[in-house]
Amino acid sequence: MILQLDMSGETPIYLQIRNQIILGIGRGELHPGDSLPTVRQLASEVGINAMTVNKAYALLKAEGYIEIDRRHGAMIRPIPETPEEIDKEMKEQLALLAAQAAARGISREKFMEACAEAVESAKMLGGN
Amino acid sequence: MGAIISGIVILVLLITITATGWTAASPDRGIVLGVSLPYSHLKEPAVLKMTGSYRIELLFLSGGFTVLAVPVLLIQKPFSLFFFLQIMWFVGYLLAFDRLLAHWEKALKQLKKQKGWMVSAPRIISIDTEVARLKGKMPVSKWWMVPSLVISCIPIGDILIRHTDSQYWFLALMPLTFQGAFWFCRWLSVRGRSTAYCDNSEINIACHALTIRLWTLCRAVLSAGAAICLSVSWFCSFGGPSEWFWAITMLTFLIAAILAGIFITWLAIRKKRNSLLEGMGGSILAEEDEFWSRGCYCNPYDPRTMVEKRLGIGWTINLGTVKGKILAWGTIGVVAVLLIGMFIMFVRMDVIPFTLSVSDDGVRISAAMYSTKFSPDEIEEISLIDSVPDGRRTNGAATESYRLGHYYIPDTGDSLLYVYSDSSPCLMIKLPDRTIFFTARDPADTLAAYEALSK
Repeated sequence: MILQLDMSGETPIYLQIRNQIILGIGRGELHPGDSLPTVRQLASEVGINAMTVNKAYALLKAEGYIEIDRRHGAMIRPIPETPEEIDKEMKEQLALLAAQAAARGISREKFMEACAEAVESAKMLGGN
Repeated sequence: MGAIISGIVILVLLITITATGWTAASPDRGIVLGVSLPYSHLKEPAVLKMTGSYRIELLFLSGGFTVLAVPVLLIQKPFSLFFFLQIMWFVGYLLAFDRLLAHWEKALKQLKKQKGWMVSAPRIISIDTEVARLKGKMPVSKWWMVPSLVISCIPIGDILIRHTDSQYWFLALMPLTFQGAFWFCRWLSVRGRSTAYCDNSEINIACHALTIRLWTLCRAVLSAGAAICLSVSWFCSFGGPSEWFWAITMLTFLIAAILAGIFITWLAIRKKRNSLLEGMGGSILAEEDEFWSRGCYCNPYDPRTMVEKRLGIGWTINLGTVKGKILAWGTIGVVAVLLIGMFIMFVRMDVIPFTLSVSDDGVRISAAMYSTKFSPDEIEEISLIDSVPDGRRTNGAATESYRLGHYYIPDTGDSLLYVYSDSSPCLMIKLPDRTIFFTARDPADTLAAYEALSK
């Protein structure tokens, strides 16, 4: 998959890496079992400190998206057979998004349209 | 001889600049005249018209400077003027090419903006995770370059065993220096950031595998050739003139082979890579035009010091980084100091005459450089000869007008020369440890010096 990083943006690089990998999983660009570059490889490619990549990978591992094996490096974790429930943190993030939309005067229909587009792009949703 | 060497250098520069400029107008990785365009718009009539006009102007430019090179090569005296004109020609040609490229690059960027052909937001770095993961397996193994390293150590072993008093350490180190350069280039190829040309990982992997493999293979082959040629040249340099001829021939062949090998590899990679990228259609991912100008790269958001060039072969320095600035300006500074220093030295050598004076202190021969002094009691023999025998320059200057400095002449051994080419006779002074050859600009002064010494 292609990682696109904005080196001059507000979002920290480690968070951009983490977000893009999750987006890649959701869109089906990364599949369970796919290997990711090692910390050194990715740091060398981007031209950043290995600690930054390490932080991104540690976050992904803590959140359950990847597994790190000392021999094989980082790999995408298989999707759990028993689907997980939407946890409190996810609900809070969704609530925040809806509140932001409301505060900007965006209509319910437009917001739902945007949600539908996001769901459509997340090919892995719905057990596909 | 100076004119021949200068002529070769001028010819090489003319060919290099013209070829680089010519190929800049052909799309490479979606880049034309230093501007990145979507693949679907590379053959637009407006783009083709621009590249056509640019090429015509390039031919006129190179043709004009070819004509200008003729008087530059013909004016050989004084040497300082010859040197100055050469440098002015080089700088003038480079500046003119730079202006030409700047003009058409700006025009194409304006066209791109007008047509809305921006491919992505600027300052976005695109990394293909599969290429990053597999890149380590792409180069030809570095073990293929190890035999070349071993062969390159042979002259050093030879000088340590058989020629410990030799002054030619730099010749013995040359094979290893070439190996160092090849290893550095290999390191640059392998370490450099890969570019995600498109969103298809298979094509990105194919492009990088092709590029890295061919470049590392090219370097392995050239390093082997360089190791063998230079080591053989080393042994030849201890023979007579016929062996020197073979040594120089091999060196010339080696340099030509290296340049040809690099050029052929570059062409092959470019052709194959572009056919892969054009075949897949779509847009390029990286939008970096704002950081490129006339082939120079300045991106403070990119931590790399060296990046692959957009025009021509090789790498260029990222002027946006501190290391890049130090490297670039440091190099320019060193070159400028060297050129100015050399020019001052040549002016002094042209202007300050050779003089011989006899006084109570002894005999003093003065020149811009290599002045010497000795006592009249040291003189073993003095004589007037018609011309100085041929010899090998060991530390000095040799131009069309004069020879100055330390030479090795077979008949007389270590010699000091203060000789004007068009002045005769020449005063020969034999001393215990060296022989001095002297002429003044005016032959009458040479005769006066001979008479003063004879007394």
